[in-house]
Amino acid sequence: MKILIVDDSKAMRMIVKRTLRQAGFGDHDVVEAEDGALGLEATASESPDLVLCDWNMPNMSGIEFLQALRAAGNNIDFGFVTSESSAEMKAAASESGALFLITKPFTADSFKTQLSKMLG
Amino acid sequence: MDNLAEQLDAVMLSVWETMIGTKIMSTEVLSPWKGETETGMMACIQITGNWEGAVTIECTAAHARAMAETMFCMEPGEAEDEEVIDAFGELVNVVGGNVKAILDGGADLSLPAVTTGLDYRIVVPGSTEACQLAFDSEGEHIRVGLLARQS
Repeated sequence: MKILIVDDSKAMRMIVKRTLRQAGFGDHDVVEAEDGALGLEATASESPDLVLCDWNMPNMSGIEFLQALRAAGNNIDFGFVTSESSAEMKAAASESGALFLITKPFTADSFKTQLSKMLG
Repeated sequence: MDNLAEQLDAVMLSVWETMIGTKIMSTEVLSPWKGETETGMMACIQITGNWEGAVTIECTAAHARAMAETMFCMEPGEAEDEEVIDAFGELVNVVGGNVKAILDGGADLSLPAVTTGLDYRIVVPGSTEACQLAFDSEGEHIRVGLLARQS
């Protein structure tokens, strides 16, 4: 499977990749994008199977990216990896079609819990 | 330590352990501290909504670089300045997001801002210091501050 990691922080993208390996998902292909707008382009050019996306980013936020995907009829598996996790954000994520929301800081166990069903 | 300080303390310990793999320890807030005589680095993120204010994190620029190189799995001296700024900004982003959750009133989190240099100060107009904590990270001093704006 191909995983698209969308986060404006290079450091966080690296930590997400490392945590995927620690969680036992290191054999999947990973591609990256720096914000929602570039993530939207990458979903078209890379056809990933899963998007792991930050919420708070310049240019296009994570929730705007998700809503743009769904508006275009793209039902790719999508989850947030974000430092914020208010009840309002969780509701907005779910209503927009996100499958899960992982809160930063996270552990390999939280990745296993949320991603095992999709990544095996 | 009051309840807010205790929760901020727990957030800092968790963020450093999971993002950098370092166990930091609470320590007294030193004044003056090395960051006032060596080049320092400060990251700041603002929270707006029912509760308004900012979270700041500061340490020496040398320690910020060392932390970034650990996060990027790099050798000492290998990180570019932009990578150090990116990593330090992400640390305050994660701490700020968790502080926002604790306060349960913030609506929005800004993007992080990072400054570096000597003898700098940061001003969030209308705010006062609600909390300041310090940590020992492998012999280096890290300070985290919470600024609350009067509404």
